[in-house]
Amino acid sequence: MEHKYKTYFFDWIEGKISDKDLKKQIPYETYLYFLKIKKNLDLISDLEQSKKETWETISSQIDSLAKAKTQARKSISLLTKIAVPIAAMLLIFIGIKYFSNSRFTEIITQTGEQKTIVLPDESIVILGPQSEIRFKKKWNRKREIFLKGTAFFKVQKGNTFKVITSQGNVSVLGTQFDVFAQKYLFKTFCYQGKVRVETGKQKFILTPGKGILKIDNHIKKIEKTSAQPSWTKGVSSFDDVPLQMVINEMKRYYPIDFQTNNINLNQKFSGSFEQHNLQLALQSVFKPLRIKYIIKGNQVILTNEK
Amino acid sequence: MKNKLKDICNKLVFKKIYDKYADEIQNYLFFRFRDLTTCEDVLQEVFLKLWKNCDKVNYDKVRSYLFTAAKNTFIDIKKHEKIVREYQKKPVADRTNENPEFLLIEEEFKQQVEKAINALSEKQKEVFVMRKIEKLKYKQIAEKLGISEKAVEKRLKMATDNFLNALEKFQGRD
Repeated sequence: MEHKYKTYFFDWIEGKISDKDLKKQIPYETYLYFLKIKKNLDLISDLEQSKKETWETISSQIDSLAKAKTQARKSISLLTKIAVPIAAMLLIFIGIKYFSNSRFTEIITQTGEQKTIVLPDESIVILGPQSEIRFKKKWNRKREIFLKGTAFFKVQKGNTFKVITSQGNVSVLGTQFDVFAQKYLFKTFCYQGKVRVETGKQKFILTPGKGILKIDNHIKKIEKTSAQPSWTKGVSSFDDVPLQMVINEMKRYYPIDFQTNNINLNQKFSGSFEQHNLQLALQSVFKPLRIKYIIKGNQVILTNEK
Repeated sequence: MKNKLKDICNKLVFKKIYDKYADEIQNYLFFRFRDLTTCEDVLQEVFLKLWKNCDKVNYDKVRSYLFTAAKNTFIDIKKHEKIVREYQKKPVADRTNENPEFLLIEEEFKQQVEKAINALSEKQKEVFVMRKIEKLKYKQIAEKLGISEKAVEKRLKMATDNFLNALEKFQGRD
């Protein structure tokens, strides 16, 4: 390696010149090599830091273990004195709550949360973030479930299974399908069996690999092959969907807001984003569209790249 | 009578064991889990296990005890993850959006970087470690060593050059 590169390395790693400047001055391969060195130095630094902190936790735990040994006798009697009445009270409380509760079960998810729920007939629901389902605790013949938001259903065979949303109803016999019921967006996709959809006055019958998408009263048929929706696997994917919808979906997974005054929200996006890593998610959606994003607190400001 | 210097139940002896082996165990764990938080948790667990069994473990076999514990914990956690996945009926992700830069960090390269740091002269190493590993500011280093900030920078520059040279040598580059 030429000697002058080494001078650049020093200036760069000391923060005197930026990544961009360094990249201009040296061959790309050398740049990658420098980057690797820096990553490793940072890693060693992180590990060193974590080693120190870990010792502190271990040390304090050792001390508390030693204390616990000497206090073991005392604490047992104390435990029975306090814990038993508390446990009894809790039991009574739970009992009252259980019997006085209404006939419905309600389950609500927060931003970025996903829940798997077993229904009374052993059908399974995977509930997406910011969604809500409500169903009767006991099901005799009717199987009805109210939904706001996103859910994937795996239905046991039996009587008609009905999903009721503000945008339309979906009913089936025994099958796998998912439903998105949001303000301006209604989407159902059938993965197995047969699904009947009623939205407004229109009726559709979906077979495996088929679905419908309704945006602002405009209905589009979709076709693809997949065993289970990707959003249940930690990734949200889109196919030719307006950017506005993608941003709405992103807000359901991350507690953030977007400033979108300067960009075109109607441009179409095809691709996916990760549900558990904001940086990666922003990168994978906005980089391909040549949109710059700046994070300020819980605001993300979007502008077009020049 | 037990040798006092070999009594693991003595906290001072225990701390010495930690200082001696924590690096190795941490490395082992980090390059298997590839995740600093999990690595921290398991490191803590392994050493607490040693502490709880301090009167049963032979001082001369501490290293192999620690490694066995680390390995077993690693296997347990991986097994548990598998069960959790099955229970949630969530298939293994078939792709990842993980930043590919992470994959650049290889265990061997990290060891070479460490070797290159250790190859520096004592004075240079001191400055280099303070700046790059402990992330101190020039001013703090200058105060600790009783020299001027300018001198710190000069010494750090020399150290960095030598570090790069040494690293190149270990890599067989020219």
